[in-house]
Amino acid sequence: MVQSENLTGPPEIGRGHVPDAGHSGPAATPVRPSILAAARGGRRRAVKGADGKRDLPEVDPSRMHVTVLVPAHDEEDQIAETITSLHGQRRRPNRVIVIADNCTDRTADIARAHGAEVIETVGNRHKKAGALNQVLKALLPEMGSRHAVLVMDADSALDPGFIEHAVLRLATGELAAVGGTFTGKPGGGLVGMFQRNEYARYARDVRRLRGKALVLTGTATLFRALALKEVVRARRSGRLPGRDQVYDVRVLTEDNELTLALLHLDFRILCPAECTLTTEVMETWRDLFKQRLRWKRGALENLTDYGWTRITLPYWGRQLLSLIGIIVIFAYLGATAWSIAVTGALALHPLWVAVTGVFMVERVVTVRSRGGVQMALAALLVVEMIFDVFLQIAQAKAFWDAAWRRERKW
Amino acid sequence: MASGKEMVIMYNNPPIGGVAAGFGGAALTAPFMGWNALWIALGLFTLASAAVAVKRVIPKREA
Repeated sequence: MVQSENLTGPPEIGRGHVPDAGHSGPAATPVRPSILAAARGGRRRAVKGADGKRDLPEVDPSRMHVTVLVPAHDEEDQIAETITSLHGQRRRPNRVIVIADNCTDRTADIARAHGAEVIETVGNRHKKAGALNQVLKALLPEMGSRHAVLVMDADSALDPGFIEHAVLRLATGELAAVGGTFTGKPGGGLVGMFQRNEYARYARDVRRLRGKALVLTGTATLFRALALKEVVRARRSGRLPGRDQVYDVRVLTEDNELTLALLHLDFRILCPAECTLTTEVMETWRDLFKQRLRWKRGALENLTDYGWTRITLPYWGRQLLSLIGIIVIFAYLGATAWSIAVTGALALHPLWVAVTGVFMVERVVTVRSRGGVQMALAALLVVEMIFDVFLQIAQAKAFWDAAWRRERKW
Repeated sequence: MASGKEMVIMYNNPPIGGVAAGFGGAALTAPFMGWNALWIALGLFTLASAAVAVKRVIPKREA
């Protein structure tokens, strides 16, 4: 039995119980009144939907039912920490499901030992998106307005307030999904350090923009079930790309694509500062290159799927900036090499030295959360430039591969 | 909420880092290269990037 699915219907605070499809999980702990007040105070619009966006039914946050889905492929080293972080939530999830996808290690056993349900995929050839679709296909029909689904990576660990704050945001009915901002776990040496700095800057940017973000990352996002069901309906009717499933299995970046899907359905999304987590960093340059190539090409192909719309405009803008950035950085490197080769030195000009100083300050200030050592390294510019040029090369290859439609590799 | 102009995206973050790191030095080479159209364009891009950099360091209340 599912409650009303009227997406713009009246609030249903404190209404009847929605069955949990025969499953039980850890009891939801009450939400702290102070946080509830903070979430509601001053944020509610006088007229809902005045911005042209869609509202979902408001629900009592203490009655919201949270199901966590953790797709995992051979994650025996990480899965215990992931589940433990869920048990450590101030607002415990009602149900934790680890989706063991073609695992050849002890992921499933470890997950069960840590109190999670385990569902093993059957014949899945579409990696994470396919694994999630298999389980969501079974779960969503039983879900209604009180239900939320947290999708998170098996190599990520939520900070204790993540679900509590995400539920409070979702319960207002103004948002379809709440995403997290992440910091990097230890490890990976120099390449790991660069990524942790990058993530710290990303999180700082999101905080300064009060949660505005263009993507709900796969690391952890809490969705209203009604919004996911609407995505399925929209795909089925051809209003969105992809088959009639939550995740589009054709794409390389299924989380980015789902974000675009929600935005094209006029839902609102947010990545509030309170919803934080840590995630694994790539430990080798090779792995990082593969990851970024997939990210960049995936994002580009998502945009191609959706075309030129009012939603995709800022995304296309970013792509254009990225392209210009590539041209600029390599023009600079070439010119520098040429300058040194011809004259044996670089000419200094006060204006550009001052500009250099501005960039030094920016690099230092934006990485302040990482401590004094990282700030000192950032001030040198050339150290982090290694990483930046590396990312530019990955971006350039993504553009090149997409342009020539080269075979995609995960 | 994701409706304004200023938004960030991990998959397509603008090349602020690369520009910042690169143009600290790129700026040094510009006078050597002379004022042709390419370097004027690069110089303008550098200055625009510097303006963005200044904006990024200005204290702002975080959510």
